[in-house]
Amino acid sequence: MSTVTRGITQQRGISRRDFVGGLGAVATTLGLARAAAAQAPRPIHLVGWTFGVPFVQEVLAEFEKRTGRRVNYGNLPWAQYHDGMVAKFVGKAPLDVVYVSDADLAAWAEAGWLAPIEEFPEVRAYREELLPSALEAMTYKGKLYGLPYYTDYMAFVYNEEMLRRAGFEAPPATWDELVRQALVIKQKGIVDAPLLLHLEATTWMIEVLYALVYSRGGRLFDDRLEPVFDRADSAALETLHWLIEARERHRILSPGALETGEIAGLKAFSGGQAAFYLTGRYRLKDLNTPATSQVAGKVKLALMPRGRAGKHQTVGWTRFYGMTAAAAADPERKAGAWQLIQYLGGRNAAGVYEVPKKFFQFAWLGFAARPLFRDPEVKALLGQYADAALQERQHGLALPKDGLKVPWFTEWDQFNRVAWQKAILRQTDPLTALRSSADKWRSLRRV
Amino acid sequence: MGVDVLVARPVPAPAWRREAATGHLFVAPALLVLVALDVYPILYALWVSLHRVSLKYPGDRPFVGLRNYLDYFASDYFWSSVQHTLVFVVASVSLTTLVGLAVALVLHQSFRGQALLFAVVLIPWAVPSVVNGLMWKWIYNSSYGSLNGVLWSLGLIDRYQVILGDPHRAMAALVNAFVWREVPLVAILLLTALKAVPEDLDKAARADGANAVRRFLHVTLPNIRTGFLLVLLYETMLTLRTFDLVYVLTEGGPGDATSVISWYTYSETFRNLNFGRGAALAYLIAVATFAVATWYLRLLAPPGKRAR
Repeated sequence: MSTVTRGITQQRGISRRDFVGGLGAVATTLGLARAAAAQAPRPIHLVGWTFGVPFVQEVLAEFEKRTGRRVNYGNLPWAQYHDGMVAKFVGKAPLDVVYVSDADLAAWAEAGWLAPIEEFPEVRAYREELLPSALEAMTYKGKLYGLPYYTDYMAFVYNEEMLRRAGFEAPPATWDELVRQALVIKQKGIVDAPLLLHLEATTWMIEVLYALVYSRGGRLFDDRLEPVFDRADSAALETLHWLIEARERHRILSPGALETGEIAGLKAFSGGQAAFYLTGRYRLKDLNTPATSQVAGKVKLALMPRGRAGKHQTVGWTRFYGMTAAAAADPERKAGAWQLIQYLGGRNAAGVYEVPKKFFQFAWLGFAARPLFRDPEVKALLGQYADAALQERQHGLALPKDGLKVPWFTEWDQFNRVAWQKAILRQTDPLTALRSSADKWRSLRRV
Repeated sequence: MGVDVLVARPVPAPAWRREAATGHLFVAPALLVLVALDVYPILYALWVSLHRVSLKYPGDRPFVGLRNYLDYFASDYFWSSVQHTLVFVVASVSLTTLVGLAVALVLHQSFRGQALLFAVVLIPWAVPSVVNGLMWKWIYNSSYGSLNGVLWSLGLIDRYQVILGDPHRAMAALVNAFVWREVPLVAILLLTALKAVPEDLDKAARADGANAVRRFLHVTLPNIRTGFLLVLLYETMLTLRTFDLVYVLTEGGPGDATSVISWYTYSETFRNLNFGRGAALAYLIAVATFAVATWYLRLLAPPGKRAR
């Protein structure tokens, strides 16, 4: 009988007992897997903008090896970073550590997406070792929001060979002198448009505008965060008139400046299409490396030309690793996020700013950790692509963007780019453009 | 005394009601999905558009009524983007339809290599919109773009020209990039309509001595009218909502020369974090699209059935 029954059940496929037994096995396996997963530390979610991805992956692999914690690393192109991150924050995507631009800090902190790192005991030591300008850039309403990824400034670079061919032994010290030199370079047929600026309406445009205004001794906002650029005697108006003249009267400004982004500008300058260029200091490495530049070895750093009231000032910025508020709300995630932030932007167990040094060696990204200035390897590399003393001098003249510490800065920046472009294109009178930009700022402040 | 107890027997529901109930049961899951994915977001967006929802101030969402809408009507930037949108829509739809019709007419003829030409014509349509934008961005580049290279090699220009940095050329460049990608689809749709035109009509017109132009105007065109209007409807709705191409190619610039309304909506929402104002703008686009669609659909109806 039992044989018959067995035979019948075999024909049907699986017996009830087998089925229940199977379910039990699956449940046990799932339970064990879950228990194992619960014991293993959760991965840390890191998102940044796309830069040196294989290098970052190597750095993170080292972190994973040392700590046993996994890092889920994602990246978005810089041009889409702000918008992509907003979508991620709003969509409550898993984020623990994120790259933050100083321009976004106020808005992201105000939106409740970032958490300050004040409570960690190591912060006090970092405050003593990091450059004050970088600390200031990472601080909002008196609280520190991260550790530096890199800090740098807008540099004035020139093609030494082109200047020599035009008969100049030294780079221009003032903007008027730059016009004179550019006209000679143009007349001699060395290049058609000697001055290259990337004025495409992207996030880089504001850095160029600030550098041009600061170098004339001007500001955009006063200490009460009131716009001063819309005054008839402002450095901003002087800058705008100078840009229009350079483009239309002297024809020394690259005609495609308004459609040229940072990368396109870099390619054009490294292709020998201009004699003068404003770019991030760290780009001097690419510009003076034969594999990436046709003018390698000819590109030199000079102090930012100055206006009548200027002292060669320029604009500086800091990008940093910030902790998300979501991570800070969970003790385990918070601990993991802080561990990663310290590894990337702080000191290692031996007290060395290891990863910032690696980033400097890899891409010449500026660092904010003062002890690194005393590191012999760093010192040697600092002078490899540009005069080290000059870099130090220009760094000392780099000012943070005034007006940054308000949540509407990015929104105003969007509007301001359009206003400046329309003025440069002569679609609007320069003073009207600046006044409309100032009105926008005031209207945003009222909201 | 005996009591008669009447026991009420349940009366079975009529067959049609049972059928209807079963029908509703079957439709219910799809309806739930529709409500969750379409109706709820539409109503939520309306709610958002009536409030000041800004991620810069997440804790503060006051009701502002129609202020988000009214602010736009008072904004120069809004009217300027409406103007740019109209230019983009009219130029893109006209060119796409005309070029698409010309291509369809060529493909409608029998000749050697027709199949190969058909395959070649389809290529642009296979290119994703974002890739299309990136490709044209390289082509138009004023320093190393291939368009400048070709024109210079042919001796048509003596120096490289600025395209995306010039307000007038930028809009033309945007339209061109859109037309290049959309022509194949329009050509296929119109070719299908052409294939449905009875050959007898053409033969009869030919026998009556009508030349090619007259045959096209009086025989072909009236018979492809429906297909033609469908193409116009689809392309108009598409151009009104075009955002990806603008995002990749010009970001609304230079200045605000190519800032069409869909770009403005994106910028307001995701860059400026004003979700309330962004939702209001999205509603305005939806209303405009709906109005255009209704107008086209009225045109589509046969003359005798048009609502007066």
